[in-house]
Amino acid sequence: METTSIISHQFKTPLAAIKSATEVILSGDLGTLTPEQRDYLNVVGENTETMIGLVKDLMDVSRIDQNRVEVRPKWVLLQKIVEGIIQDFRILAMARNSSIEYSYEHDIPPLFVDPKLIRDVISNIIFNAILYKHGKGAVKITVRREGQKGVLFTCQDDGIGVPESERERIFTKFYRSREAVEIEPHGSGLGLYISKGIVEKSGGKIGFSSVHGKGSAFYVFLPVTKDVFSQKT
Amino acid sequence: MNQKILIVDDDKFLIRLYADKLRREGFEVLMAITGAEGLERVIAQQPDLVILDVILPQKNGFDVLSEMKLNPKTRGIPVIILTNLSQESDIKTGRSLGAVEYLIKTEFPIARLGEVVRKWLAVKNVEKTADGNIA
Repeated sequence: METTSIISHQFKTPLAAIKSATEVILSGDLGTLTPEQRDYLNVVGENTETMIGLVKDLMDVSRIDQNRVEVRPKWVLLQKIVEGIIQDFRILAMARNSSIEYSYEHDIPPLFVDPKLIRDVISNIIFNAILYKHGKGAVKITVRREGQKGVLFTCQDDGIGVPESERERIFTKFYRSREAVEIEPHGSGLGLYISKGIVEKSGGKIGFSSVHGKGSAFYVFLPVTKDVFSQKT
Repeated sequence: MNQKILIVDDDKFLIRLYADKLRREGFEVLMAITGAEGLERVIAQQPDLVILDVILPQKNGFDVLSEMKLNPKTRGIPVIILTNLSQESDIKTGRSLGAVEYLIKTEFPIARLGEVVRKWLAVKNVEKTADGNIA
């Protein structure tokens, strides 16, 4: 068994106990809670989820750094993956007084990628767009064919944007802008680093354009070719 | 008669939590805290279903599952793996050895434990009836 897998297991063991115990108490199985007790336990639950997410991120980073990302490619339609993720995020967008606009071309070829990993990347980008937006416009998502070479996903928001001086650091480990920390103090600053690692492992490219204070547009390009995994180990 | 569930897990707090949850839902619960003890109890007490961790003292969960599948007396008992090992390769190993479910403790809500157990007990009963009809 891989060392990172064992370390991850050791971290998760106490977290699983806290999470399960909190769930049992919140379920009322052990007796009725006062509203204050319920509020406090909800905080325990939310922070436990943050820790669980952090452990997953750290393990992903470790695998990327060691070039040990497990890739299990299949033929998939990117537009379907994106559609599923958008369904999951519609409620979050509504809760933040926003919405998601989605369009895709109809002649998009299937891609030979790991659907679980690509789902993580796309989810991360859309989640950031919803979380860090401050305008009233929708998050605009598109999937289109990029000639014969591949497929391009884009996600545009009217959020906080990235300051010019910090653009080179956005895909580095633990980078978080001051404004991002103010909006979401619990973020790990690992999501985009992990996304970049996964996209590059899949033979693609990730990038963005941004105007500070006005918004950002992130893109992910994934190639159509099947033999990309045989070229990289 | 209550259906018998064996939980094999070396985390003494979690095993109590799972056992209490299942008892509240009307199951009879047996417990073992090592892989070797788990295997002995499966053979001796023939539970209706096993909930099995993977990282265990003496014998790991994958070994317990392999040995159960080699023994005609325990082969048909459904095994749910409930673990914190979450790599794709671990999930693939568990599935290929014959686990009916592979659940990650930090991702699985304990409120659903009884529901998942009942689902696989129902599947087992249908299969048993089908086998009986063929025989």
